[in-house]
Order: sequence, then structure tokens, then C-alpha cells
Amino acid sequence: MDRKTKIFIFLFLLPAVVGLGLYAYYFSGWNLSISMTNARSLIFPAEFIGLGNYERFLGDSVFITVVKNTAIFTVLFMGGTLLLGLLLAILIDQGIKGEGLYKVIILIPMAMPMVISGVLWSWMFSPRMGVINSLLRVLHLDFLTQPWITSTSQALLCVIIAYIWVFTGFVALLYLANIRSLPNEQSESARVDGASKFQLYWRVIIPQLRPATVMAFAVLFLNSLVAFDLVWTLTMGGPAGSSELLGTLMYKQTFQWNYFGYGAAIAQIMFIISMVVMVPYLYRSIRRR
Amino acid sequence: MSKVTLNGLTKRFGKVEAVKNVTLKIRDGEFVALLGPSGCGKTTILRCIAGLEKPDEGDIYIGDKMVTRLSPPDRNVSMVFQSYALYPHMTAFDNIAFPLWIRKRPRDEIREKVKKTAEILEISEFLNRKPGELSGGQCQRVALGRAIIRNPAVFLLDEPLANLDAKLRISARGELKRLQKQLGATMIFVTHDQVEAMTMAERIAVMNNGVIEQFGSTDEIYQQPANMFVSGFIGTPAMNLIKCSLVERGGSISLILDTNTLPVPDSIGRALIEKIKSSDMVFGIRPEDISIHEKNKPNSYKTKVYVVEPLGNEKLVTVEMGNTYSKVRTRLDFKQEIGENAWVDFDWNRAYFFDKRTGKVIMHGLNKSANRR
Repeated sequence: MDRKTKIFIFLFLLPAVVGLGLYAYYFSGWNLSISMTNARSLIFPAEFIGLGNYERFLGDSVFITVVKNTAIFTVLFMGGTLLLGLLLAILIDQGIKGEGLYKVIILIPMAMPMVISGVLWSWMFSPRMGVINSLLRVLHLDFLTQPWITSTSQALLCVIIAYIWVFTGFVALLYLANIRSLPNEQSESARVDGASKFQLYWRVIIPQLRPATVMAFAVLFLNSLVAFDLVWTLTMGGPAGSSELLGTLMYKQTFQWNYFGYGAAIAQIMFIISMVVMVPYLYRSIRRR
Repeated sequence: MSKVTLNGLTKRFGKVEAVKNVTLKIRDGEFVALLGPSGCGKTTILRCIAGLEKPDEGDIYIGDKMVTRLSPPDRNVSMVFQSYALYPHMTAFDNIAFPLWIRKRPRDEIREKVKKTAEILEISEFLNRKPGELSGGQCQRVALGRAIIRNPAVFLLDEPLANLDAKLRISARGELKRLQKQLGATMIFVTHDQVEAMTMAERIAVMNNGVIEQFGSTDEIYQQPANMFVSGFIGTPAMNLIKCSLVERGGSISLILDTNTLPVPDSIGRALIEKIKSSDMVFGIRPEDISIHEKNKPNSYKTKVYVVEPLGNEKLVTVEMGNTYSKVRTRLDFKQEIGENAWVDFDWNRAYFFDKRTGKVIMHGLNKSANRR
């Protein structure tokens, strides 16, 4: 490579490097430094308190609730999305007419701003005027109506359902691409050998969907850690903290109650958890190349 | 084991007619090759027999049972795919056991049968490996194992040797042939390699453009090709096909190749004249049925050496005759080099004559000598 080419490459990379450096690395570092102060704003000077915020969070009564909620959220959201996505992919794989149209339709939730999805779902789940309860009443199934997002036992579930709705299409397309990348001869051979549809998917196809599963797992896990916008528009973490997640707690502490240092510490913990998952994943996918 | 009959089979893909009204009767326990260039419809026929394609017209019988409308598993056929289609997440054992496994056979029976199959194919020591850890030849045997474990009525093999390297392919040819004999199975395989077809099959169906050009034993296909396509497809190198016309002048009969005249032995010339409608024809002769000399000999024909290819045990010489080029197989001590003159003469008893328009064979020397006997 001659000098001129090197300069060109450098110039083309510069904007991306600057942007990434500023937004990813600089602000990450800044966040870390704030998390070790008792800052109540970003303007006034703050005192260095070391790991004080972290200690406070681990001792906070809300800590257990949030960790429990986030764990429930992660497991149900990921499990539900992976399962529904897989079923949807298998359904589309049957060679139904208008496949292209279905692919677009199932991606719409993903393409929509989360806040809008949140509003839509709050209309669905509203106990008095909501679509679900109204429908149940119209069908004279009043006994099935639920308090949904206003109930401490159901709010988190409502949030999970909404999140599953958003991500299922995306996961389905990942799985579909994986299924379609498998050699057709394998299914044909299984068919000639007498395998039923169920046996074909269960024995031959699903065991080979690891790549899509790993990919979906990484995306869903990160999204369940940073889950915020949909939760905020649906329940704001309530009622009574019953759907409080790391993301909503961080937001409240930082921007509602102005504990910037404390909020930054929560963000830092989220950052560390996501690194624990992402670093091995990235390491593996880079090494494979 | 069963016979296989195709009756007026036609398969279209959109506007393309991949298989056109094919009728084929394969005997019980026969080893048959479907041979032809790519896109000739041979794989489509195989897939129709397997039930992976629905024919647009015609019927398929396995044994005496019509299977045209049956789904693949109800036809009792096994298929080995060109890519082997092994399941990469399963061991060789599980791959071979798969057809029994999905039929929910008892474990002991499966273990017993896999063991026996592995012994036949000599892959017993690889059974715990996954396809990714096996060589191409081992994968091919695992695929064969998966096909034979079920003891089907018919085996269908799509280019079974195409993915093997050249050396392995030659030994696999022999092994496959032995396996077929050992099982006494009806086997139909698809290939584009005429050597493969000749060495393995009892009978060959030569296909072109969705039609079977000729169906016969290897000897028939080689010695009595039905038309120019078959004669040009079989043999390495293939038969020389030279456009010419037949003339009778002053009682002697000759072929006119471009501007050159080639006298034809009287017996053959007379027989030809009786059979032809037009004097334009194609003269066919195999490279081994031409003799080439460094010096002029009576009744030989002057040519120029275009290229010489030594093959170790013999030489392949291409000679220029007017505007046409012909390949000649000759001994290693042939001395002439590129650009020098050489004289050729033909073994007329092994010459073929084709109708230039239809490509059909008009007569061949062999026919005549056979008649004489």
C-alpha cells in the first residue's frame, strides 16, 4: 500500500472513528467518572465518593426487586421471542403464498418507534377502554377481563408481551434465513426416507439453527438489559415498582430525582453485564472470521 | 427389488420441457445409468421416480404398482444425492440409522442393522464421527449406508461419484458395482461422465434435451450408436464426425470431404447408395479405427498433423483433412510433428454413416459384417 492510499483510507475512516470515539468511548468514560461522584447535576461541581454509589445500590431495597424483575423479563422475553420467532419462521417456510408480504408485515413492529408501540399497547391493555377488555366484554366474556397494566402482578407480563411482539418478527426472519441456508437436499433426503414434517424440523432442521439462535440471543439479551422506552410508555416501571427494570430505575434516579451519580452507577452496572455477554460473543464471531 | 417403468413421462418447468414423453423399462435388479450433458433432464427423471417432482404427464410404475401420485415415502425408494445430504449435526451412525429411527424401530434392531450396513461398506470404525470429520469417500459411503439400510425396492443415485477426487472415483466405481451385485438391487444412477456410465452400468439411457436418444447395453451404445449425438457423446475421445457427400463416378464410389475425394470400398459404397435419400451425410469413425502412417501408402489419404498429444502409452494425433480435424489414436513411435504430412486410412468395417439432417444412423460397417456372418 503506498502512502497516498494509506492517507485516503485514514481520511475515510476518520469520521467513523471520531464519532465512535466520542459517543462510545468518551461518554462511557465520562459516565464512569460521574458514577464515582455524588453529582446532582451535570453542571455543578461534585464530590468524589469512590464506589459509594455502587455500595448504596447493592444495599438499596429496590435492588432486589429490579434484579428479580430484570431476570424474569429477560428469561420470559427471550424465551417467548425465540420460540414464537422459530414457529413463525417454520410457518413461513411452508411456502405460503405472499411470503414477501408476510416478511414485511412481521418486521413492522421492529421498524416502528418503540414509543409508538408503547402507546399502541397501552391502548390494548388499558383496563377500562382497552381493546382487549372491550373485546372480551363484547363477546360477553366479562369474567375474563383483567386489570392488566394497572395490576402489580400483571404489569411486568404486559411489558414482556409487548416486547415479544416487537422482536418476534426480527427473530423469525433470522431463523428463516438460517433455515433457507440449509441445503435443500437434506429435507428432500429426509422426505424420501419417510420423515414427517415434525420429524424433519425436530430432527434435521432445528438442531442446525445454532447460528441464528446465537445471533438472536445476543440481540435479545442486550435489548432486555437496556429495555426502557416501551416500559416507560406502558407502565413507567409501576405500579409500585412491579415492572421496574434497570433501565427505568436508572432514568428515574438520574432525570426525575437528579441523582446523576447514582444513575450513572446503575448505567455502569448495565454496561458491565452487557460486556460479560457481548465480549465472548464478539470474540467468537471475530475469531471465526 | 423391483422393476421400474416410465410411461410417456413429461415434466415441464414453466415453459421449459425438461423431460419429453420418456418411456423406459428398467428390469428387476438392473444397474442402469441415465447419461447425458447437464440440463438434459436426467436428474429430473430421477427426482420424478423418487417423488420429489410431480410429472405433468405419464405414469411411473415400481414393480407392478403405479406410484405416479404417491408421496416419496410410499414409493419405497432410496436416494443418494450428489452432495450426499448428510445431516452435519449427527454422527455417521445416526445418519445411517435415520430412516429406521424415524420409523420408530426398536433400538436393538437399529444397532444391529447399522452394524451390518457399516460392515458391508467398511465404515465400522468411523461410526462415531460427524460428517465434517469424514473424507469425501467416507461421506459417500455413509450416504450409501443410509440408502441401503432400509432395503428399498429401488436405489436412485444422483451423480454419486461426482464429488470424489479422480483417483477415488475410479475405485468407488468398482465398489459401487460390486455393491449393486451383492445387494441384487435395482439401481438407477445419473451421470454426465460417459466413462462412469460405461464402466458401471449394465444398460445406459443416453439423454439429450429431455429425450432418451438411445437405451441399450454398453456394447450397443458404443458399437451401434443410434445417432450422431450418441456417437459423439460416447468414447474418449469421441467419434470423429465429418461432413461429406457421396458420389459415384465411373463405377467407383467416393466420399467428398470439402475438396478432397476419399474412395470407399465397393461393398460399403453399394450398400450405402441403396439406403440413402440424399447424398449429403456425416461420416463417423472412432480415433482407434484410423491408422496413421509417416509415408504414403496405397489407398491412404494425405493429411497434415495439427497437434500431437502423447498419453504415455499411446499418442493422440489430430490431423487436418481439408477444413476438418480428426483425432487418431496411434502407437507411441509415431514420429511426425506438428505441420508435417501424415497419411491415414480407415477401417471401413468400423465406419458409421449418419443422415446429415436427422442425425440418425444410416448404416455402419459392423452391421454389414454382422450380417455377413
